[in-house]
Amino acid sequence: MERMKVLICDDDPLFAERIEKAAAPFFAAKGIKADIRICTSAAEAEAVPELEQYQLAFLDVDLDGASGIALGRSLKQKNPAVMLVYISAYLEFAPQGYTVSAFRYILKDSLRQTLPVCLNDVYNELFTRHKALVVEVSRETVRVPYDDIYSLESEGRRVQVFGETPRSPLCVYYGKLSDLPGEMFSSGFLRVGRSAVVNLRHVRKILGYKVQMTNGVELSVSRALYGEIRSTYLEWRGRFGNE
Amino acid sequence: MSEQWTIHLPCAGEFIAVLQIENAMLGRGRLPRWGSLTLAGAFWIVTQVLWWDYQPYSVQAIAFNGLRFLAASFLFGGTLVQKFFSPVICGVAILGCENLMGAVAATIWHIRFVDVWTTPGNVLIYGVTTNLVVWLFVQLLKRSAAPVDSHQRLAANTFLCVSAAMNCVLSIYGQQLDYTPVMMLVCIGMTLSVAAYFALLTLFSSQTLQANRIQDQIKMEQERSEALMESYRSQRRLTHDFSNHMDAVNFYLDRGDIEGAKTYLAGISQKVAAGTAVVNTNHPLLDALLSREYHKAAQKGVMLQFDLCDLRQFPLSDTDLVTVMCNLLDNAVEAAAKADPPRIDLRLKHLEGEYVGSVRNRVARDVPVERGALPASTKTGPGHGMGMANVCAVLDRSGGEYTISCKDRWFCFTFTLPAGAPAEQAATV
Repeated sequence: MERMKVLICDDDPLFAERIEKAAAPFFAAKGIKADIRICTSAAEAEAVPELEQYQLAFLDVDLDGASGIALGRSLKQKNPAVMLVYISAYLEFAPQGYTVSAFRYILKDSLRQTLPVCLNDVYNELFTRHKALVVEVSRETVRVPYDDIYSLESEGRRVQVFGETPRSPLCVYYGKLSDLPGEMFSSGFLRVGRSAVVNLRHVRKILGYKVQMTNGVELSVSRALYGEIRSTYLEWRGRFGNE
Repeated sequence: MSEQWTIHLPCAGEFIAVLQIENAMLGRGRLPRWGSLTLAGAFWIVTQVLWWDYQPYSVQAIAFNGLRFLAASFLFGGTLVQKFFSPVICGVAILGCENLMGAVAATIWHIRFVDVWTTPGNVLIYGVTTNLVVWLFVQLLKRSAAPVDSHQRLAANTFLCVSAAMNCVLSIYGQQLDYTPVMMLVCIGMTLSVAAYFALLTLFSSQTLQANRIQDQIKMEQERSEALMESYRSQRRLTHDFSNHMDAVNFYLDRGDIEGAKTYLAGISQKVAAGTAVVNTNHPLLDALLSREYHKAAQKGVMLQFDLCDLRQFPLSDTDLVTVMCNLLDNAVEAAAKADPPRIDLRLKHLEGEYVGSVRNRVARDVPVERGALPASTKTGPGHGMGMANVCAVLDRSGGEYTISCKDRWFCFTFTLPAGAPAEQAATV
């Protein structure tokens, strides 16, 4: 069973409990053991040990004596990947939430309707990212997380899996790009030509028949499929792109 | 080459031109494009072999080809009425080309019209020219064609039917004429009248399009101001009633009726929630629009989920903003209300120098989307499909990009807009 750490910080303990009661069974139903910690103040939350290991935080914006936004900023400094969900009675604070790249901003009034949808989105964001490409390299099984892969390029009968460092493959295995699992393509990978597949998460832009990756690498795009590839990339950005 | 082949080959060229017209007019059908073209080719060969001693320029030949064009139209998309009308369009275009080229060639070479298409060279020139003319014609219409209203369409269709009939008459009886200059003049006159007809139709349709756009914008502006006024009125009502509500709550509390006070407050909270903004993006108009759409969606049982950022610099003028957001969300609410689960996800994000927006909604069934556009067959009237056309026009004008997709019962419209000062502000700088 997978595990995750969740922080709930709200000065109203009853409200925090409501969130816990919704989140724990939701994640349990997905086969994930959620280790939930409830705090009623920012100071208490800051003092939680191993705070950098928390993956998800539900924060009240207007905490007693401190701002939930400042707490969120502090959590982000400790773990940039933490997902912040702000819960507030006041809509006026929403733009401040955007300054810390909050994943969601939900109102206490509409919690019953919005929390289940929010939890589902959190689950998709957190656990589809943990998927990995499993390949055989020199008779050993190697697992490369999708997030670490920037591109896959075929060269003869070999496939080179590239990560952040250009021209230095994470691994090379015998196979074909056409044999890659279909699940990869539904997780944000896109074939851009006969010999290259890219992870859209690491694409900076697609322009002039070239894909520019965030690590500076440029790959050629199939001219015949250029329009379709640009559309797919645009749609992906619309759904998943984040600052 | 046998004489019979020179009779069959012009038909082949004409049939290819017909496929071009039907493809442009009706769009893709259930089969992939290559499948439709292969089947159409096989169909032509079979029917041509079945009537091997085919006699051109006869009533039977014209009826035979008309039926063949109609049968081929079933390999493409479009409605039944469009399919039945496609042979008329094909008749005007193909017979018009044939009559004009035949008459001109017969006049220049001083031969009878019926003797023009007897050499392979002439047949080849005829086939290539016809297809080239049709291709150019289709490209021109694709760029300039726009929806027309029902009266204009009726007049246009009547003209096309008369023109097709005239071309049939010319094709059948013109063969027996020796005095080809007359024939040539008649054919040139017919071609000019068809060209003038299309020019006028394009002019009218662009005027209709413009008028519809203006009407839509006026309607949306009215709705917007009404929504803002309504929000203002309810705010004033609430302020006015505030002291009365306080008295009522005091009354319950004085009596020690905590539950009564709670129930009363819950009632007021609901009222307040229904009249206030549900999002705050630092862009007052966008907040008002999105809140109105949210309440509208909620009334229809649709869950509208927002994922937004600070949008104070959103680069659209007020009018364009209303056009884009209202059209996209109105369409989404309408479609999602018929779907299960009824849900819409709206995202507006600022990413690397541009704003990226995505409106994803559930649909009852997948809509065929080709090359990022809705199928032509769904745009059957001047009002229908105008909303989306207006959205696309605004995005084009603002230097944005967009794409439409529909799969797994999710319809998705995604767009980008270059970040910069909003158009109205930019204009005043």
